[in-house]
Amino acid sequence: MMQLAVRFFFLFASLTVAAPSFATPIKVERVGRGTTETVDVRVLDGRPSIGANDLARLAGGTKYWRPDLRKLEVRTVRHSLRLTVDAPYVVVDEVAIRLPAPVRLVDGEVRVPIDVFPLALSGRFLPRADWDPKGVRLVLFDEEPNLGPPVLAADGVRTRISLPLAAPLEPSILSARKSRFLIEVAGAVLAAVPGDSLPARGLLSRVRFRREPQGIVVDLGLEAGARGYRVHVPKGQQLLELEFAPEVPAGWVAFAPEYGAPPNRPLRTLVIDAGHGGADSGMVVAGVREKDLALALARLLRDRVRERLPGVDVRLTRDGDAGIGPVERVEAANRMRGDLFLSLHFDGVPGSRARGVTATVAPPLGFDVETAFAQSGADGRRSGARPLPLLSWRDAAGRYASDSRGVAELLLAALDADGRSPTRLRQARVLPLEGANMPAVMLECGTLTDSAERAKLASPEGLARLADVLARALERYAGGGFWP
Amino acid sequence: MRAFLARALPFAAKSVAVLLVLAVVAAAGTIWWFRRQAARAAVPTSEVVVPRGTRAIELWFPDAEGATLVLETREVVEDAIEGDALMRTVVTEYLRGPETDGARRAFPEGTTLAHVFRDPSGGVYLDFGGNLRREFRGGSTAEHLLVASLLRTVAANAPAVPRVTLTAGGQPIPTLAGHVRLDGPLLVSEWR
Repeated sequence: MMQLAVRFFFLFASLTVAAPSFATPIKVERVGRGTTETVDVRVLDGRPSIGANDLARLAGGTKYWRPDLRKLEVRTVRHSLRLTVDAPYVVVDEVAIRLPAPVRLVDGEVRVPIDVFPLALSGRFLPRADWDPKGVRLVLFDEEPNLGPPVLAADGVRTRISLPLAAPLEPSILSARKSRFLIEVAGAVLAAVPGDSLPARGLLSRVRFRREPQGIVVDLGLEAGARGYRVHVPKGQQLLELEFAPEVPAGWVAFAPEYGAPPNRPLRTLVIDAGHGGADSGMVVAGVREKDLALALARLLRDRVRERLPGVDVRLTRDGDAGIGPVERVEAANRMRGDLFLSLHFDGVPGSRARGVTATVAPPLGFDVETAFAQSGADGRRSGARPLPLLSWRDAAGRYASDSRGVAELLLAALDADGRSPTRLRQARVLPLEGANMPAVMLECGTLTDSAERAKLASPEGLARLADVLARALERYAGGGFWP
Repeated sequence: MRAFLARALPFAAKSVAVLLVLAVVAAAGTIWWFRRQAARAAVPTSEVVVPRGTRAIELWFPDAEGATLVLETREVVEDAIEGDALMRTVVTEYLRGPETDGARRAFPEGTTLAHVFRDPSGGVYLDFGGNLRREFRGGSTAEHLLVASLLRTVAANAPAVPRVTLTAGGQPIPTLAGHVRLDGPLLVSEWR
C-alpha cells in the first residue's frame, strides 16, 4: 500500500511539478552489506533526484564544492564524478554522460537525477547499481554476486533448487520444518532475482530469498508429501543444490517434526536455569531484581511442569541465591543428561521504550557437520561405526540450532497469544547457552524497564500466570497436549 | 564693448580648456578604475576555496524501542578519516550519541575511547575508559544492541576490518551484563 502511494506520488509529481517538490523517502538496499535504509528524494524536472550528500555517501566518495564554478566533485581513489549545477550531464572519469534531467541546486543542496546511479556510477563507483522505478527502490551492490541465479526443477519425484557458486560458501539450516524450511548461506551475495522469489513447483509451495546482513536466507515451504531433504555441493561442481523428495533416501535427512508433534529428542529431563544469582543481581529496576524474579519463576515453572508432565524429570541449576558461573550451569545440565535447557532471564533497556519478550538460540553449524551428527543418531549419542566430528565447546549448542529454534518459536507464540508482545527471536552466541549439549533457549520473559510490564511481573499473580503459559507451551513441545 | 570682449574671451577660452582637461582626466581615471576592478575580478580564486573535501560517515544506533538499529550520517573533513584516523573518528562520533530523533545511545554517557590499535592481520582493538563496566546498565538486549551497533558502524565505514576486540581501561572485558562474551575478538561478519 505504501509502495503504491509512493509510486502514485512520483507519477503525480512528474506530471505536474517542475519546481521543487516535497521530499519522499525511497528504499536503498545495500546488497553485500545486507542493510536497507531510506533516503529522501524530490521530483525535479519530472525525475526523482537525490541529494549530493547521499549520493557521495552511497558511492563512498569525498565531496569538493567549488562555489565560483557551481560545480561539485565527488572523488574516490580511482574515480571522479563532476556535477555542474543546471547542466543536464555529469562527467565521470573524464567521460560526459547525459542525464534525463539537469543537476539542480535546491535549498542550498545539489540534487542529481537518481538515474545517475545506473547510468554513471554502476560499474565505476559501485560494482553495480540498479534503480527500480516500479518498486521505488535503489539496489546497490557493494560486492559482485557470488550465488545464483537460482534454477528450480521438478521431475515428478524430486524437486531441486540449483544455485551456482562463485565462492566457497557454506549453507546452514536454521529451521528444518516443512512449514518453514530456512537455509542461511553466510557471506552470499545473491544475483538479482525478480521479486526475490520463484514460482512454487513440485514439492515446494513457497520459494523466497531474503537478503540479511550476514548473507542470504532461503525461505521455503514444503508440500505435505515431502519426507526428506538434502543440501549439498556436488563434487567437482561449483553448485549448491537443495533437493526434496517424497521419501528419505540414504544420505538424506528427514524433516524436523511440525508443531504439536513429539520432538526428535523426547523430553525426559528438563533443566531450568534461573539466570544470575549471588553477587550478580542482573537487571535491577526500582527495587525489582532479576535474579529474584528468575528464581521465583523457575520454581513455579518446575511445579507446573511436574503437574502437567509427570513423566518429565525437572531440575533447576540453582534453587537458592547462589552465584554460579554460566559455564558451571551448562556443565551441570549436560551431566544431568538434559533434553531441553531453558535459561530464564528478564530484560531491560534503560532510556528506551523497549518492552516485550526475547528468545535467543545458538546459531547453526555448517551443514556438513550437522548432517554428520544427524547421520550418527537423532540425539547425537549413538555414534555407531561413524566417527563423530569434533566441536569446540562454544559451538556445541549449534548442533541443536533448528530444534532450539522450534522450541523458542513455540514459547514465543504462547507468550504472544497471552498478550506479551512484541516477541522477538534472536540467533546469537550467548554465554548462558554456551556448551549446551541439547536444545537450549535463553528466554527474556519480560522487560523490567517498562513500568507496566514490571508491575505485572513483580506481582505473584503475574508470575504465576507466566509460569502457566510457559508450562502449557512446554507440554505442547513434549507432544502431550495442544495449543491453545 | 570691444575692450570688454578683448578682455573676456581669453578668460572664457582658458576656463573651457581647463574644464576639458579636467573632464579628460576624470574619464581616464574612471576607465582606469573600472579596468582595475575588472582585472581584480578576473583573478582565479577557485583553487583556494576548497582546500579540503568532506565525507559522510555512517553511524548505527539502537532505536527508541530497543528493537533494531537506525542509520545516522555525519559529515567530517576528509583528513579526519584518512588512514589511521578513520577508526578513532568513527568511534568517537559514535560515542557522542545520536542526533536524530528516535535513536538512543548504546554506550553509557561519558564513555571515552582511550586507544585504538590495529594488528597486522587487520583486527582492531578498541580500548574504552575504565568506567564502561561500572556504568553499563541493561539486560541482554541492551548488551546485544551495544555490540551490534558498534560493529555495524565499524563494518559500514571500514569494511576490511574482520575482527574487533573490546577492552576497558586496558583490561579484557569478560562480559558487560552476563550474556555476551567479550573477552575475545568479535567477528564483524557475525554482527553486521
